[in-house]
Amino acid sequence: MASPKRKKLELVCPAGSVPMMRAAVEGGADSVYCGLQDETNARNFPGLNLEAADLPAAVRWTREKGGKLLLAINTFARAGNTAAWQKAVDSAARSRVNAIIAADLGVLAYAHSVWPDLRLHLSVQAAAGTPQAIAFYAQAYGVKRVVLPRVLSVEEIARLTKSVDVEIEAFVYGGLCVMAEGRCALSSYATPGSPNLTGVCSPPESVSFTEAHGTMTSRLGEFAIDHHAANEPAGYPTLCKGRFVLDEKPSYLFEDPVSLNAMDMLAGLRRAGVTAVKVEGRQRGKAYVSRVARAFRLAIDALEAGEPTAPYADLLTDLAEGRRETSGAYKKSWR
Amino acid sequence: MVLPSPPTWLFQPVMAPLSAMLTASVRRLATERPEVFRRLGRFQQAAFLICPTDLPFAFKLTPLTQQGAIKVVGAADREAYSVRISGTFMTLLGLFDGTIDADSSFFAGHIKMDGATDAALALHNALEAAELGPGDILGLPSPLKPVFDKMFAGLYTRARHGVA
Repeated sequence: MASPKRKKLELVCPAGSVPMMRAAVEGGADSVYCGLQDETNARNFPGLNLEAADLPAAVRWTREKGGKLLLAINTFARAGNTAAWQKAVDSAARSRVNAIIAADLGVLAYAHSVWPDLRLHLSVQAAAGTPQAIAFYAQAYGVKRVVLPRVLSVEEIARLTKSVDVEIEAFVYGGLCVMAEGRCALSSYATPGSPNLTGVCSPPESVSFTEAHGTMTSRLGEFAIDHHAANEPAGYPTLCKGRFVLDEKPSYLFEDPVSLNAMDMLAGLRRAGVTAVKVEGRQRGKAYVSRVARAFRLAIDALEAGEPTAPYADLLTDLAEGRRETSGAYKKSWR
Repeated sequence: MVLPSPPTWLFQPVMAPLSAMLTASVRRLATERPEVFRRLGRFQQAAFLICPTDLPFAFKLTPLTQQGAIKVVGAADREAYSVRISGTFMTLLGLFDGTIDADSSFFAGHIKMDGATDAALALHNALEAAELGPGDILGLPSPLKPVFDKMFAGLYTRARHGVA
């Protein structure tokens, strides 16, 4: 089983474009993750992402800076039409990316059999949060790192890392997904897109905002999902963050529009045996990643020097969805 | 103190030449940086109405590569659009050059969108990836662009942070 890991926490940041990749690394990221401009990528938004032809130069640039480039091929391949996913794996391996991040059994099996030297990370989309599930992925496909679903407390992560023999990566900043990741059907119920199959949660072509009498209404497909007053902070127009009326009282039934910020959990996560901490938000852009990478770089370096991370805790509040932050399940007290 | 926006008629004489200059820049960009337009995909056909809320005029961008155009219109003109993006001039400029985070500006109500959200997103993502500077928009010769962009960035930072 895993021995206590005392290595410096690896900071993994998002890159939706080459300039964003540079901003992340220059801000202090140890690794960046990106995706291709197709349905193999769970952030398949218009105008975003890299072309396969960009990968070799992006890998070279990242290595020259001492960093690593990871490619997310993290949607679920369609039955009878797996060519795009296989092609993405081939491009990743030929470009010598440091690892691919995948969730689908078929994608993992293909990568493991065709490119045995390609390092595999298990995506959060696989929602693997038990020793048995993680052991299966490690034994069957040689997975070296698992990105945990955002539903575990720090104590639960500590118990988990002691019973598995792979690296553990945990989200520390960005948008939250309250559902069982990789299994949410809310978006595909309301729109033609699916985060799991076509790579888009709440596809922008189904999102609209209309303003009337000082109130902004956000809609997803046919559904009005929230009303905001002019000075009220807004969140992403996803069904899980919609405000619904129950017993004549409007409330966020599934999840409040808030962002995860677990900066004050870094020491606990390191003690729990976490290898890498991850920032969400490939769709956010270089201004976002530059600030988040810098803030977490300062905090991780402070942690390594035995200093408090508290001075950096409030650096990112204005970037948060709805302008509010949460430590999510890490400090879970309700279970 | 916020000064009132000057009247549109004051700018009428410069609108046509400004439109011609900006249109020439877009078409030049289509030749020099085709990948920017490729990223826009089907939204090359879209009409983007960019409305600085503190100016008496707006910009209507229709990318369409070689036939692309930027038309300077009055803020109150009724122009057809696929998506209208509004915010202060400085906020819109920050979104253009990637120094302002679009999502947090939107969460905070600093920018507003009306119409095709996917078109706005595609434009933002294409501009982010392109790393264009003000020199590109004004169509300056390549050797002058870095100097101009640096000078402009300095002025812009001072203006945004209220430094006189």
